[in-house]
Amino acid sequence: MDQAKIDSLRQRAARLRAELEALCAEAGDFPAVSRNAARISASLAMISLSLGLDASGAETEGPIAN
Amino acid sequence: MQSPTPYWNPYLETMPLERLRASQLSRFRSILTWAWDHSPWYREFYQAAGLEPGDIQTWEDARRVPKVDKGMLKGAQEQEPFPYGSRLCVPLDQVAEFRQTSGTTGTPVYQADTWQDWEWWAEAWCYILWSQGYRPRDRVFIPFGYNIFVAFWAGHYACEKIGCEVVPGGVLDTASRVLKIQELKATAMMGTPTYMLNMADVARHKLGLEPAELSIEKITCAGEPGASIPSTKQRIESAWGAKLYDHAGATEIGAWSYECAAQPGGLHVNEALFLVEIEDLVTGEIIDQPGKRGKMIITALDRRAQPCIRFDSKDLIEWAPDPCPCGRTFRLIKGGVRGRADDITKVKGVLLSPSAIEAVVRGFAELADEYEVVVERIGDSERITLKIEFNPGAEGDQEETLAALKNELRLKTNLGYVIEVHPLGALTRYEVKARRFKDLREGH
Repeated sequence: MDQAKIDSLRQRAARLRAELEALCAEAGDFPAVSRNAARISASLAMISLSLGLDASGAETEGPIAN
Repeated sequence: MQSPTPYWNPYLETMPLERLRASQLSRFRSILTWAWDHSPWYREFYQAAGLEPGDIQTWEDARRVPKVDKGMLKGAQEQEPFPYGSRLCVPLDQVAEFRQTSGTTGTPVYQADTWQDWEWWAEAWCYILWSQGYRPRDRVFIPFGYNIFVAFWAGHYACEKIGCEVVPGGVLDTASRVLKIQELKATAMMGTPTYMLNMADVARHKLGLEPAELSIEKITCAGEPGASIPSTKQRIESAWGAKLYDHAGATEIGAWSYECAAQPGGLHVNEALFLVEIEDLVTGEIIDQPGKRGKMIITALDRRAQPCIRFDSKDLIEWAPDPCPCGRTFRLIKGGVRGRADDITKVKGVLLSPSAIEAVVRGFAELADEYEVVVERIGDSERITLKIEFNPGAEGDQEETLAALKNELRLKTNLGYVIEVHPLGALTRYEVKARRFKDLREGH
């Protein structure tokens, strides 16, 4: 699959993650926002895994070891 | 519009193996570090082995990480916090889902999952179902008890994620389930191989319906090895007029493998989410080459609440020699799970696997779907009794069939059997996992 497309999708996912964290911080004690945001966060973690990142969005492909 | 891609994840499922392996090693280190940082039990376990996460740099290092088994998991859950114990890596208020193992070997293992873990379960099932042709147009009937066992729960959630219409066939009896499939024209369903045969039997003999004339196009089986045993697979496909696909998973592990639509005679390991190693039963060495059977040691690379790291599953598997024609780079295990290291038993000095008997019995069209095997000690000798039923209309050739059956059993298992013929319907019918192999010898 085209790596440029993967890189672009990764960047969009990172922006979503940052926006979601900001949303949670701003919501504070607002369960209807923060609990729904927690669910989105879990879905976003699956998008990260699907793009070859770890669940937090970090790179996972280090140097190829023996 | 229907998606034309055969892959749930066209990026990872076709990724060159060496890149996948590099990602696996990196994530193996991550999950090990996570467990070390968040679980007192894992930290003590690894400290006792003289190991720290930073020690893991290569595959050789990874193979030195000590294995865990089910007994250890049970031991860990006797500690706080209740009921999961000190293997738990998250605060209790982050646990969203409870499941447990069946406890057939004693105390069940309690399994905690966070919501992210539960999304991960469903994600793993999406790989399975998409590869088997499940699409948003499908109406999927799930004839399952929806209870404390994980079974088809994640299949249900995966169907929702894919966009299928899900019909939960929970508290209905078997006849009502068949009638609901007929009423709604369901296109797919999930169950154990045993129950798929049981439902077909009820359709035919209690309802007068021919299951192959109903609307089911594909069936996903799990929980027993039958869907990878060719004779059982053929029976179910023929009964329902549908494609039958296998999947192997476990409560403590996750949904780690699947048979794709190409039906290559084996299961893909989901190498995006799991690290599977095969260990030689005698030497303990890791087997990388195809064709040599060993037991599976598995790591769930992203499961957080109660990590599964180098878990000794005791499942017997072997790598297939050739890649799958479907184009996935995820490796195949030949013939699915071939049994369990702790299921293989010695009778009259010969190693016997219950799956080998199933493969023979289900290969005789004259025989009905149910059978039972009883191993006993009679004085100084051991006896295996095989209880069978004949299909209607096949009784006339009994003697000939029995002779052929005995011959085939001896050929395939190197053992002799006492065959008992029972009336059709006399043997126990099972709704979930069958218990057809009964070892009555002391100590077994």
